[in-house]
Amino acid sequence: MDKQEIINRVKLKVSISNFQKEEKIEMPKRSHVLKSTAVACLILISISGMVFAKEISTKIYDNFFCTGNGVATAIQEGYIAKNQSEYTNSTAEFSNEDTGIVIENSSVKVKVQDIVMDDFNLSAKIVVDLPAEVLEQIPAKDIWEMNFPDLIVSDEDENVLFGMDYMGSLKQYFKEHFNEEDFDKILDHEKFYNSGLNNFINNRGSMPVEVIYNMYTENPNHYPKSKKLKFAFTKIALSNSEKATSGKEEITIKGNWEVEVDLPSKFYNRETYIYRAVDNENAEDKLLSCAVYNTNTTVELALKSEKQPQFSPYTTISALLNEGEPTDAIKDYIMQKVYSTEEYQEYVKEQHKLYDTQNIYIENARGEKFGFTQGPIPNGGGSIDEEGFFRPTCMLDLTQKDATDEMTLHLNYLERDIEIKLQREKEE
Amino acid sequence: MKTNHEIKNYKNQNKLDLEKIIDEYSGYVYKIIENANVACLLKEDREEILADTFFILWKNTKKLDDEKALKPYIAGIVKNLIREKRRKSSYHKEFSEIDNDFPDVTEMNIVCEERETIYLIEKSLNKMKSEDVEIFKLYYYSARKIREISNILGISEFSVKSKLHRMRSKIKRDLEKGGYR
Repeated sequence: MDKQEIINRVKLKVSISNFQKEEKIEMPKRSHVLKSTAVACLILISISGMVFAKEISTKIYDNFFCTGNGVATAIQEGYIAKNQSEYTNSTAEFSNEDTGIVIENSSVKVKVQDIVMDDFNLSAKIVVDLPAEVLEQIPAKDIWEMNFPDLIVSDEDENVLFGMDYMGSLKQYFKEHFNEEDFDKILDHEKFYNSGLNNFINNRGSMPVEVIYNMYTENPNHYPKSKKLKFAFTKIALSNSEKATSGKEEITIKGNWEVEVDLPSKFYNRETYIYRAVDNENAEDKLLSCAVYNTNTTVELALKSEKQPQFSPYTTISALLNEGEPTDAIKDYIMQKVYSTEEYQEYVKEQHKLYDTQNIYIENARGEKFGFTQGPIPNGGGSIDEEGFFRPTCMLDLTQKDATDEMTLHLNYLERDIEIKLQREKEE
Repeated sequence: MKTNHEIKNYKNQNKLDLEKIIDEYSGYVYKIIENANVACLLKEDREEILADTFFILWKNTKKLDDEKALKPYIAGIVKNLIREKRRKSSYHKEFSEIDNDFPDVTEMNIVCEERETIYLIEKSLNKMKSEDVEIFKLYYYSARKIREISNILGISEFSVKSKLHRMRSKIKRDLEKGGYR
């Protein structure tokens, strides 16, 4: 093993160690311990969602889902399913890994009370009522974490809108419904929406516990226009530790809960308002698409960019070696050296300018302004195409309630103040 | 070869310059392993010790005294790793001490349990495409952002995210096969 191989191998170990640390993952314990990697998988994906969320607006608004202002507006306008159905009851087994206490034949009740669903968001309040014998072991005030590791949310057309227990419930679902067990094929399956998740307890210290599940999908995978949703799970994970994270809970309640919810017609009859830009053809900065939904607005742009700064680590490496194409290991080693040079830092700075849009908002005909919202689309991010146009996508908190036929999109890019006049396309 | 340098000479903004250390000390580590003359060590074991030495050094960065020499720390870690390998094997021949002047590094955590998991993940990553592993390293070693990786490799941000997501999932599945549930 030469030095480059050693460096590569050490780097990989360091990467893996950082991967474990930065994702706040402690690898699951061996199989004799109750925890399952299904839960670990939940952390991985949840955290992936959270990492993703860092890239977008972090504004949190005053609605119980704690999602973007667009969702708050939609709820105020009645765009919410208030499910009044009874609790679903299941015989359950409580077990605490730390204390070894097991309670059999308990009874745990669950219902799904509130839902907001549109093309990108599926938020639900899942209510869990724990019996006295369980509360003796963990009083409501001590419950800091509660989630449903093997939850599957499906609809009447066998679409799986949410599922993170890849090797458990999700695999089982696709095996039963589509005779499919191959993990990669499940991930790519047309019936599977690989949703991200942010979840939390809404009323810590109270009983029943209200758990908010904010699930989201990304473009171009809009959620289907489902009429019914089924929430099915067999595990409730909870913890009395303030520091508990998903997958680290010491308590598991096993049972069998299936809750079906009829969605209101306004959900599945939802429509999209499409806007076009006035004078788009000859403009230097073009609107590619603008769609206003019930809970938010998405915008795609093509902005005239500047020439990309020139810096090619690979070319530099080749020049340095002066003996043909270097191996990956050598490239990798030298790139690390290159990253610390002033030249490279300057290159990154110049390049970032080309990928940075500022002060994006839509102003409606009433002069009301709507900026970035918290949502599944990375706000302001994009790539530069071969013709030299920067193509960012954005999600704004404008909803159909506030959309007017004519509006203006404002933004600043490369020190240019850009205004794009928007006109709603009328259906024929 | 420059040896016996103080640790501060191998730090850049409080971070260990691993490339420099490996460049200067990998031969030394080889020599210690060879001199230990432990017959139970296979070629893979020796290579594993070699890589683990520098990884453990990095892992214990905060415990290193900047004013002290690096060499004894490295030697101490190698000795402990050889002892660990020896304990795991059925080979009981007494291990000859390399240099008793080296400080006691028993306080330096050689993080056996974590290394076991890392070894499994390493195996999992080694089965993946090299360009995907490159993304993994850019993200988790070089701390590059998704957008930067996208620019560096000339692929879309979505593709970077998607590949990272798949790698995480693949790692998890492979851990399950390795007895983790």
